[in-house]
Amino acid sequence: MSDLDRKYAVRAWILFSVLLLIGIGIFGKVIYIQTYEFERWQQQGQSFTEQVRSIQPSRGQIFSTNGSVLATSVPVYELRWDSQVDGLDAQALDAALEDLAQGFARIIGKRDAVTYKNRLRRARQSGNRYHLVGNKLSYLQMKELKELPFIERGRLRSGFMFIREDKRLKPFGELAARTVGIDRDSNRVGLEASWNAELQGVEGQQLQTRASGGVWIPATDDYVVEPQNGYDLVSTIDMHLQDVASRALEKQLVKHNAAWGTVVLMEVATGRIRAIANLTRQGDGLDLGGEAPQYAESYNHAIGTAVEPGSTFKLATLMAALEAGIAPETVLSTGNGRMVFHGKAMHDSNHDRGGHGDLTLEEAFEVSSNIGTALAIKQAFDAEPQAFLDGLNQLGVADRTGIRLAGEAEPKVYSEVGEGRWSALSLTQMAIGYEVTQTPLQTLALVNAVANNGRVMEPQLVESLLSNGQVAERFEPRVLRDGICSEATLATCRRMMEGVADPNGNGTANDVFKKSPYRVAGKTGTAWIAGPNGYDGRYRASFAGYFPAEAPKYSCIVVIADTRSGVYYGSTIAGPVFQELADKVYATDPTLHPATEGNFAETPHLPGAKDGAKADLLTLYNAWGVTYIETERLGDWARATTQRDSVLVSPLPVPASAVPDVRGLGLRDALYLLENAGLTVTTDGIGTVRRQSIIPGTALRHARTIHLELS
Amino acid sequence: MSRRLQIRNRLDWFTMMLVAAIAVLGWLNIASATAGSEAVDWLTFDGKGGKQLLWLGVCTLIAFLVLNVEGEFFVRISILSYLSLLVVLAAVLVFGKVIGGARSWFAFGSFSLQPSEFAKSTTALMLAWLLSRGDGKLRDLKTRLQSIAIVGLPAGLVLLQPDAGTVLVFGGFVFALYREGLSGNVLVVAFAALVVAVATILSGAGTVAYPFFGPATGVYVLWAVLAGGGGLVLWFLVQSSLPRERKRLKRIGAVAILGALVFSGAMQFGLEKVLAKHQRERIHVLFGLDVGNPDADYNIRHAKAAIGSGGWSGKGYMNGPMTAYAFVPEQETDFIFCTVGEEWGFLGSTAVILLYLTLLLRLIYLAERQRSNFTRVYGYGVASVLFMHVLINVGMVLGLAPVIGIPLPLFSYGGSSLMGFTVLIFILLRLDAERFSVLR
Repeated sequence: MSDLDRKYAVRAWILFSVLLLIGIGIFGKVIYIQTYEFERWQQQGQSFTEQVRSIQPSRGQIFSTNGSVLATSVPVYELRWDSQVDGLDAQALDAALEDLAQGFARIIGKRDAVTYKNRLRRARQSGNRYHLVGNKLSYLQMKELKELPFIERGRLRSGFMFIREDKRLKPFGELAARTVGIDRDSNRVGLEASWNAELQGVEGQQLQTRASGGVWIPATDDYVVEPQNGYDLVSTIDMHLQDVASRALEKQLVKHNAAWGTVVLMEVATGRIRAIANLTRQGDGLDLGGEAPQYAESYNHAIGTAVEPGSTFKLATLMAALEAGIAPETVLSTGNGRMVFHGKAMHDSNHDRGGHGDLTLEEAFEVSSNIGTALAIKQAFDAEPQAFLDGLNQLGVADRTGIRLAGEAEPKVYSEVGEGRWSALSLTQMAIGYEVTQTPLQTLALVNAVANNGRVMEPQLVESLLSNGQVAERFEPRVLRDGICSEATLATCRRMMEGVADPNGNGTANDVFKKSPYRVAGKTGTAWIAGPNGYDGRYRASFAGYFPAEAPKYSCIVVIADTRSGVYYGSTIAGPVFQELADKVYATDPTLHPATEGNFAETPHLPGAKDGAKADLLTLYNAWGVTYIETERLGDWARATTQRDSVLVSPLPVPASAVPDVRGLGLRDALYLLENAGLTVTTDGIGTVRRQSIIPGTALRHARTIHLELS
Repeated sequence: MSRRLQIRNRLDWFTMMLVAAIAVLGWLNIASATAGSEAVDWLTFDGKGGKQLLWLGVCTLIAFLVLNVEGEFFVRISILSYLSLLVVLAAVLVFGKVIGGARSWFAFGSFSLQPSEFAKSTTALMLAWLLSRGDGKLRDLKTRLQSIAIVGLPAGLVLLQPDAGTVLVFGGFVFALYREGLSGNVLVVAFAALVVAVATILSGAGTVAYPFFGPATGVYVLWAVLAGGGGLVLWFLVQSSLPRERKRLKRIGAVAILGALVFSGAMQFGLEKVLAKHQRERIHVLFGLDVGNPDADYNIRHAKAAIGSGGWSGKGYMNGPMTAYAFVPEQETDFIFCTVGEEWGFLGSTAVILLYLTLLLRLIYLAERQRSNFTRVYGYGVASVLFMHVLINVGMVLGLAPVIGIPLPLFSYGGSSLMGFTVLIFILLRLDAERFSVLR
């Protein structure tokens, strides 16, 4: 070995040592991480895999009194893209881009394939890590999108992720939409707002571990805080009547191109609201070019719009006068239909035809004579106006109705003489429904009280709260004021109101109910609308009343504002809506109109029963004339059992924390139930579910997959 | 004694045991890392565990074949195999398939092959061939340049794919060259370059408010310090040295300062203009710099959490939640060491590191006991390649090196890598078995 060789051989030892040192260094780092930093990484590791996570309770549903769903939560999905995700293979993305864009255009729609493609490219160029591809995607859309090339690689390798959220759905669309309300994070509306505390439930806390794909699953069956689902709410609204009310109102609004209209139907004895429709014209109604104006449930006028009621308020003022001792037979000289009170002229509607001349108080009410009413009030209260205000207050017209629905407007009725803008003119103006404001519901409350023997009821929109299909709390009718006036006054008022709508009398609404087989008591109103420059020739037509007159069951008010058709009288504008709704109620309410029709579905050959969404089943049974018996009115999901001559429809139990039994259900319904329970569903075949891979009633664990065999 | 028997008796069974132990441990951990939360079905070849078992069988066969080839054959095919691999590496740039952002693979149906895994063997052979001619020492400039070219050509082609990890592995051949007489100054320069590189990264990531020019990258400060400070130090050194050495000192100093500036400038350019954003972020993450992207250190955070949470003896085989739920991407390939750390704990990771360290030292020992220059150079080549792989891979997982995709030799999932290392190591074993009978 040469010297040189020996010199280089030393290098072997140098390299040997370097290697050893580096080995020891790495070894040291391992010791450092696994001992010194052990607790830190232990915790970090646990926080990646274990966390106390909040569990969102499901928001309660809102039912109509007949069990249809007015508001429910359904899962919707948002498709987002992290264009910079680590595992993304750019080459594969480029290859799949065209197919992806085509798929988006086909499944999501909204944009064409080229636009989708460009948007994806831009998102990648700009490094967007949360690019929104599509939102409000249904479960089926989500399923289909997951099958697309590239997306099928999964979240870590494609960057595409689906984010689930609950969307509040109103299956009946615009029907009673404003009353049912809007559920959103701020500024909720309607029942969703006023009953939010009951509907939303209590958020739970649970220790969860993370499973593959980043899904969190419960670590144990116990909760740190048990989640409590929101109560379901059974409203008083009857969807059949609601439908009629809404349609009749819309027809009239469209016909007369009115700005807005509202209808409220109330059960006399209980104060429960069976129908409440509010339609507001979208746009100003000008330049329609032959198109019909569009209406939407965008504001709850029935409870939120306090305006001068006009003649419908005469019920209140004349009741006060009658209570003060003025006899209904009192003769009032209305003259030629024009009279000046404190320097301001007052007209009757027929002043151009010579006026009414002498009228009794009762007749003045029936023909809605402004002068007659003003004279009666003047006669009774001129000496002591405060007694008039006290009398009105006694009737409850100065108070809110206290309905539990957000946004009830405050009525304005002077409580003290001299208050605010009180003047010498005020007494006679108030007599005919000006210088006071009331919401339509507040006006209705008094009419209802007259029908209800002097008892003012609290208007109710909620009958009961349900928890898991069982009644948790029932809301009984509440009397706000009892005995608001004497029996004699009550009798007079009812007689006067019947006179208004008597087809054989002279009342303002004698034309409206000519064909109706029942009698109606009511009061018309045709009020000027005050604009920024005072009264400007626009009118608000109303009709408030109850029926059947002899044994009142329902009270109702219709208000229609600012028609452009040139017609504006309460009887001709609001009356027909009232009449159409009352006719429908009369025809369908067996207690009003005992049914005599026989059962025509005599054949016992009934179709095979299939379980499913109850509303759908009943729609079908109704359409086919199949007799069915509902054992319970509530619940979404029904089990159908075919009997000899009818189908028994019973609630299908949907346990909250167990795998539901979906056997016998159609795929759509099964999917809805199982997905809502947090299961992943795979299917085989078509038809109804024959077998399910997880036994019904098994404790629910998230992120499990259930396989369904369909036949 | 027949020649065949001689070979069998002189085979280094110790190394073979080490290799087998590492490969089997690797297979067990791959099975765990890819099983997810499901139970493993050992009898099918569907999963990656099953496929790796298949590869182990194939490689056993390859090892057996390699051991039965005359050592002289490897010497003779050095040039041919090296040149063929160069052609293949060039071809993969044109016909290759892109996986993980690099055009490194040939795809044949569902099966793909990574030629750069085999280029390591051919380069080692070629280098051995060159340096075993004549007196085989790197004394003349020509041999030095030839050596550098032999390593540089395949490394350059791999860089074009681009596969930075494998390029770094080729850098490992500098150890073999050092052993064969490359000036130790090379290592000094390499160390100095590392210091400048780190300084460039750190200063380049900062922002400095310069007078008159406003805020800009801090790398200008580094350059100013390099030029000004370096010049000052050089002037001081020159003043205090003997006059006859001054000229040489001046020359070396000027080259050093200029070289550092050019190198730093190139680094900065590469960092800002050549590297993709995520690569730059990975480097910054390594130095604990805030990159403003919470996901940038995702891999390393999860890797450390997996290893760190293993503790003394680990969570048990098939029992690591981070492993089961695939938190760490590429856990069966580049990040397989996480699985070891999590499921086998400190004891397991120590065992694996010790296995590699023993194997490396053993390889150097094997190389040193050769009379044949060819085998020694080749042995150092094998040790260098293996060393770089282990260093970068384990270093990356432990947060000591930037995240560069490179497999843990014999351990990570993947047929190409396993075959490449089998060929690499078993050629050495065959050559070693002939150490008494052949003098090359």
